[in-house]
Amino acid sequence: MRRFLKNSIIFTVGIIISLYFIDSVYSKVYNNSTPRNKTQYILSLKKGEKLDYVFLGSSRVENVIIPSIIKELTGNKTLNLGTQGAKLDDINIFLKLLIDRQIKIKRLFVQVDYTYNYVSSSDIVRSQSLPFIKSNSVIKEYLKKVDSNYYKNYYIPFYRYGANDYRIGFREFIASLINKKSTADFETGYVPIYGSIINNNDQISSLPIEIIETNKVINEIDALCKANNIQVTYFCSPFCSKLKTNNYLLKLKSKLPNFQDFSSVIKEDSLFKNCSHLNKAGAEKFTRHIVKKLNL
Amino acid sequence: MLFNSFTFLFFFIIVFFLYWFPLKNKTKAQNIFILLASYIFYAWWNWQFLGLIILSTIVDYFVGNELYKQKDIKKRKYFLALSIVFNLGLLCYFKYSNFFIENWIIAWESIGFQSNVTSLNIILPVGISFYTFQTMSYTIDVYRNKIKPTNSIINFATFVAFFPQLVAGPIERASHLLPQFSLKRTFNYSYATSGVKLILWGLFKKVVIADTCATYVNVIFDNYEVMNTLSLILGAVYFAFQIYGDFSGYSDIAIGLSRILGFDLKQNFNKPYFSRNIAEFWRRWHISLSTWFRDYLYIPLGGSRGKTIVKVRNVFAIFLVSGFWHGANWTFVFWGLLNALYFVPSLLLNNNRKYLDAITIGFNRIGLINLMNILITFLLTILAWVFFRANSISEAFSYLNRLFSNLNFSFQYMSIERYNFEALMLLFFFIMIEWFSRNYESPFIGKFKKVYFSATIILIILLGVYSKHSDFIYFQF
Repeated sequence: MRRFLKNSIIFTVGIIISLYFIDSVYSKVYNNSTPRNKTQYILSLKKGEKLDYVFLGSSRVENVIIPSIIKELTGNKTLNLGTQGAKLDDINIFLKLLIDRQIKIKRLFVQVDYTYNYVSSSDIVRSQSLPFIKSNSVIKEYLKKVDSNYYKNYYIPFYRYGANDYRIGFREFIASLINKKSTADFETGYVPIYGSIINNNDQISSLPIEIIETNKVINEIDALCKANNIQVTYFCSPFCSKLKTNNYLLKLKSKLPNFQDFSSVIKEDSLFKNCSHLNKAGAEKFTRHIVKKLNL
Repeated sequence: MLFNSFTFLFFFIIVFFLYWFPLKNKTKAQNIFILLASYIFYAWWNWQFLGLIILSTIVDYFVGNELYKQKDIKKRKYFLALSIVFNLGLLCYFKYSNFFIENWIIAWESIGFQSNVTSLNIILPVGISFYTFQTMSYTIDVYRNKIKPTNSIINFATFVAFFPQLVAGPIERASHLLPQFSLKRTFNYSYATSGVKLILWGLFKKVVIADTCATYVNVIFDNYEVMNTLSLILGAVYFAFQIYGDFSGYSDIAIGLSRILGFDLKQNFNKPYFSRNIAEFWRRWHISLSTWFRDYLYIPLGGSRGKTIVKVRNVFAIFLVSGFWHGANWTFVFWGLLNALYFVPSLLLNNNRKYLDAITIGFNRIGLINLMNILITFLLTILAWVFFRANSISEAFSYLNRLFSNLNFSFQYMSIERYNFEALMLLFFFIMIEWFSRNYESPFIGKFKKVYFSATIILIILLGVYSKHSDFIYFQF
């Protein structure tokens, strides 16, 4: 028994040391590799860099705003920081990271729709932030607030990589290690999607009937923008003609005076991939539309 | 409480220390303690169903003793019937009620009538298929005078609820496991370390092989209408390894845990995908269930003796029942039927007892024939697995129809942000390890066993799938 226990202890200590070692290797690689997601991209931006326009939001920004068109029409440098599944808390952290990197932003555009009713974050942004939990104080604070596994992720070696293996596990680690380029172009941040709503049976949903009194994340974003002299505009990206809006966007407008409702500006359903996402042709049309409407 | 969870790790560490230190050399106290630990283990999932295990234990303990006392054949038959009806009744109610009700409704509707019967809201208790079969084997063996009943209800209850194998087997026989509860257990270093090796290898098979394959299998089977032929072939292959890694991994962990506590459980898998025909496959796959059906169904029906028609009937009976045991869905029955069809030629040609020797592949004619036979058997097996995995028989046929008609063999990028072929590298590596260690229970052998052991730990850490915590497939059976 003594021999068994002795070997078990050696075995356990060996595992713990291995976990610490692998954790540090993973973290080092993620901190030094070519960006493969938007969190990494923001952290790789040069301190003090100037950006004319920044768009924040979910895939309804990522797949919808084409910075190259804005640049072509206005000559202004634009960055699309929309991320699949992003919620208001994620938008908030992106803004905080940009401010922390001392990025000078002339105008900020934040996409808001039914997300106004929620104070939540997306597991995609959360897991992509985990490699920086120890190296970036802004991310540390954000995760402390939104991550229910914060203490496990922070204190148990390798836990964050194991528990989020789908996004930051071995496969992503190898891709980062060899500096494999992401399919997305982070210089602009736009990710096109193809296909048309006509060819699929999209589940048409509706916007909420009720709206919450106030959203504290929006208040925080407003305060941050004011403190850093950033002009912020909230907007709603287009929806297809079949969406039931339930007057929700009118209620939203009453909450956010600087809100622009673009929900019905694209009339042709053929320009949508599904009811909430424009396809590439739709994104081109919409981007040209907002250049005029927002006086970019 | 899953074996691959931190909760179980802490649970087992506590069990280990209490079992081997304060309770050392106190066999009765150790048994009571294992029984309590087993009940806690089960109650962690759903305490309400603990009553079923206790009820099953009491009924079969009582029946076992009555069978031993009774000399009257009629009364003995009556008691045996009581045990079988009770255990199968539990199984039928909890596992098959809705299946029978739904088919009843469909049958009436097909002839234009509406049935007022509605399906019931029944939860399937984890492990019910395993422990009912284990307790039934006890009463049948007592009835056949193969074993004497135990006079200790604690030992019997521990045999029924023994936590390492309670929820997914191996299905133990009373003749093998029950006497071990009466023996004094002394800690044996080499036996315990062999257990640790099995646990580690089982964990590798579960979290690295099975759960990686599951990621691909789920997306391919759920979206088979848009998958190309290569993806569909790979989906079936991945599922073959998912179910093997999952179930044999669980069995290895169960056997390993038992060894650390000083118990021996029977081997449940013996490298089944290296089988040279279907009969050999069934001697190597889920051995505890196959032998259960052989001993308590196939042989009583006449086995492979008698007229050809009787032999064929017996083969179909055992495979159809085996299929139905796996789940209340026609897909499982069809899977059993396919396996029966595969098996019958071996039976008729009298080569079902062929290939009892060790598997070898050399650069000669026999080696090549062996390789061909292994590949053909594997292909037949994966074809049957499609029915096992699909949600309905028609879905399985649609899957196969697309597989044979699409004929596009390109690498497909899937919604899980991975190419269809990506898990193949891992599988190739796994097959190589399995092949070179085919005559051993784990691959930690030879001069470099410590290196292999350490490498496996690192691979479990690096390649294990932890984000989508998957239950063991056989829990649902």
